[in-house]
Amino acid sequence: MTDDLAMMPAGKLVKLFRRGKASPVEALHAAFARIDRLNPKLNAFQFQDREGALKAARASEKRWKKGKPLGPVDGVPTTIKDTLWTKGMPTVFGTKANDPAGPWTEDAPCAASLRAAGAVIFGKTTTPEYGFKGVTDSPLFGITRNPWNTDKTPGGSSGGSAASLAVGMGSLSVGTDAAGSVRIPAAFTGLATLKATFARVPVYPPSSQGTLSNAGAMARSVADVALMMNVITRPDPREWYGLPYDGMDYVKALKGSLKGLKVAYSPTLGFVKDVHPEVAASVAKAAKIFARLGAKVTEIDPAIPDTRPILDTHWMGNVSVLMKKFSPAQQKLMDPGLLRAAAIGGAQSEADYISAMNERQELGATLNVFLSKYDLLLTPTMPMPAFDVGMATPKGGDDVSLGWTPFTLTFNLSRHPAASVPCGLTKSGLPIGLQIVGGHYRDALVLRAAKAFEDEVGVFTPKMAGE
Amino acid sequence: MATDPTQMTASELAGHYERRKLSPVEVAQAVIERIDEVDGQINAYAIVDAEGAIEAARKSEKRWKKNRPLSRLDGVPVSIKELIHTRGMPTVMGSQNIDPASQPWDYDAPSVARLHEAGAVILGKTTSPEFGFKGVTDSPLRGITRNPWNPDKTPGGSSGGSGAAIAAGMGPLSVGTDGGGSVRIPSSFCGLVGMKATFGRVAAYPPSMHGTMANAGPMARSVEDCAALLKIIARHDPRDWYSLPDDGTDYEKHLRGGVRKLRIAFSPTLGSGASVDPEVARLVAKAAWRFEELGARVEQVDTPVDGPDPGQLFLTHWLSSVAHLLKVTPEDRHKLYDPGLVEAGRAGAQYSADDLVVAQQQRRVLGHLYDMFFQTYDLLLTPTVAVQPFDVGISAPLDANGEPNRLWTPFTYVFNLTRQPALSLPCGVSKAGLPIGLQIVGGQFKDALVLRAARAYAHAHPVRLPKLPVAKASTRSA
Repeated sequence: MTDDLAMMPAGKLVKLFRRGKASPVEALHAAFARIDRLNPKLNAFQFQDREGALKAARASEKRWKKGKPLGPVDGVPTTIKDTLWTKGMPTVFGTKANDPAGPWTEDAPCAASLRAAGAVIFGKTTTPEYGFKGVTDSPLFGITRNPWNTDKTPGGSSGGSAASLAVGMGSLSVGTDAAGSVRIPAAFTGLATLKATFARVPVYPPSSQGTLSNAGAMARSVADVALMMNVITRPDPREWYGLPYDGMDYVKALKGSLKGLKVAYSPTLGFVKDVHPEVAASVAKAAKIFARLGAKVTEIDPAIPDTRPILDTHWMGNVSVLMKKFSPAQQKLMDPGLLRAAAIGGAQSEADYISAMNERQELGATLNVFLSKYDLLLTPTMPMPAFDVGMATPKGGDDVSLGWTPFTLTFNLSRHPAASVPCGLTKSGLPIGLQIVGGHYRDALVLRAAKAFEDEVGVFTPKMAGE
Repeated sequence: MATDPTQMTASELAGHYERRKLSPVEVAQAVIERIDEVDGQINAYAIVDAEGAIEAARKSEKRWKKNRPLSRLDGVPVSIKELIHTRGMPTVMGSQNIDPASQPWDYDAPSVARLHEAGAVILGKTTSPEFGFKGVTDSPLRGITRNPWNPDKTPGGSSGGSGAAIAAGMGPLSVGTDGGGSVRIPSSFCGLVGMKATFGRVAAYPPSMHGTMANAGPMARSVEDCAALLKIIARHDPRDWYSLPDDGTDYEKHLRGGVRKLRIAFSPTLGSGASVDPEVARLVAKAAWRFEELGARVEQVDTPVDGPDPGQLFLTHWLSSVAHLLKVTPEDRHKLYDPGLVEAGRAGAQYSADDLVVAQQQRRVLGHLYDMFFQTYDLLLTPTVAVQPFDVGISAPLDANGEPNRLWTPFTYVFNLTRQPALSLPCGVSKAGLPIGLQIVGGQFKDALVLRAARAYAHAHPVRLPKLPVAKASTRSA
């Protein structure tokens, strides 16, 4: 019984807490048991605070007994990626160059709002240094692996969050996404996630990737993503880009059919040439499911240029500035790929950077107009399924371009809400992700569509989760 | 009650339309006559579309006759700064380097589209320095735009054409743009109310070369008019990817709340180290402390935030944009630009890509610190500009040593960097008979509160501005 709690949807867990059928302490122990059993194979945690978490779970248990929970996730075992500040737990951005000594006195907005809603934050999940690449390994903690096949990467940079969630080592997790870092691992491990409209989820301190970066909810089901959104979208004055709070109830907004929605299906965004055939077939099938659900689906590409160089110019420039904070001695402790990215960024000119900013602005306007004609846009989340660990990109080698995740990075540039939900498995048994994109501020619509789709195809669970 | 329609506010005109005391055609004709009469001296208009305006006024007249106006501002004449796109009129950015025949000019910018939908009568395009690159209004293409209060003085800029036009009775409303103060500076120098709303509140397209520093904003003769114009142009437009979601705020309705119990900070220099003209300092301080009489709690805060130097941040953002403009202009055409623009562009070419990334990060730090400041205070009061309107023909006023004072707008660009709403309204007249502006700044998205405070002040302390040297005999109040 207690083991079931670990894989149970958070929404259902909270219902059991309410009825006194389960306790937050039991739920936390169930997660711990799985960590003890499975984490040696996956390496998803940067840090765990079991003692602090148990204390929090006991306090939650008391609240539930009194019928006075703090919020909609009271008592739910939750993890946070190591790129987001947590009070009392170190945040070292996955690097040996940062001192874990602390004192760690401040929560990031999402950690603060989750805590205020009663969530039991018990650990920090792995990330490549500063989330700079789309797989999850670093000199500090080694390689994080995919529960569907441990020879494969779970993707990244929120790979620790994904690997842990997929096998019940926690019920909810917050990742960060500056080029796809919640959607890549969600696609590679069969999870649901949303990179919301930029700044819908407040962030502090600002990421080194500036306005590309977002904190995002990750979970095993769309309903749990919506549940988290209700908490982590709470406004925080520390986020300078914070949007006006609209009080949206994302859980309530999940209801409703897709009838009459205008949905664009773009298999390649007009410029991606190398989509894996099994991915392409699965996503094409997903588009048909949308049609069956009553949406008016049109196969059409938005008229946008190749977005990869625009992203890379921003990305490498940001890494270059980031690396200036570290001494040569510290840099020696860091991923050589990070240093290569910084060198590329440092060689860019003022004109390169301004052109990229202008191109980003034009891309944003073009996609905004496209998404005012279509309610939603469907694409593959990734052009390929999970690939072997130990490589920074599917092709391996020294390349540090993020160009291999073109579908996701496009919407970091354009700031549109983009979800990933699993839509199938490859013959070799690896998950495939469908990306659902909406107009600015239409996060609730994106989740509603994701839920309707999930209701058709179900959730995806790796065998390891049953071990 | 003024009987000359060119001296009325938009709200007064609307009242007369409603009671059938005036018709939009009469008003459009009067304003066009006024332009013919005085704009030779002022040079506020780059393009006057008399025919289009009369046609629009006729349609409006019909709607009023049927009691079916499209909005309260139906039939009110409005001018548009020449950096803002208008269907059927070229938008050459005040520059000889843009060929008026190079584009079909077949679309309206969001603010102009909204004004057409509201039935406004678009009079034409008002002057700007090239690409709005400086805080006064002159260009090789258009020559010098002058201040109606004293034609030897600048109306400020870069929306100086808009400011001069409104002040001289050449249309009561205008849409300007503000990337470093370009709505607020001319509003201050011309005795008007002008607002840079929260970034993204007023949609714009195409994107400005100044990126997220730039805002389209309303300029008017009264706070009520400013609110009425903002209400129309503050709408979401998908072409602007920064455009905020519509929040349905009725800026006019919220005007009357007063300022009781509000926590207001008054900062005489914003900690900028700028020297403020003594008359400006005195009049602004007097205005600031008057908010106490209105029921607010006013506190002097010399340095609201201790953070990155906004001046350096602004220059990095600003000059690098100008550098890029030069970069994309063939070299043999540089001589057609304002020499000041070329100089600014050369200065901006010194920055590296890393410098720009750092400037963006520092901007976010500054914005964050001001956001935190507005957790403690509801509003911040400062002078709008550090100096009085100065002579035309120079880009910056001269200091006591006769050197250009580059620090003359330390109060405006800060809030382009931080994206917070900031409004200028007249708070007095200097001995030389020139208007002085008070800047009211609010926290992010608090546009309605800023307008409400401005209305409370303007209502309690209307500023009697002197007769316009170029005007027909009439006195007006702002």
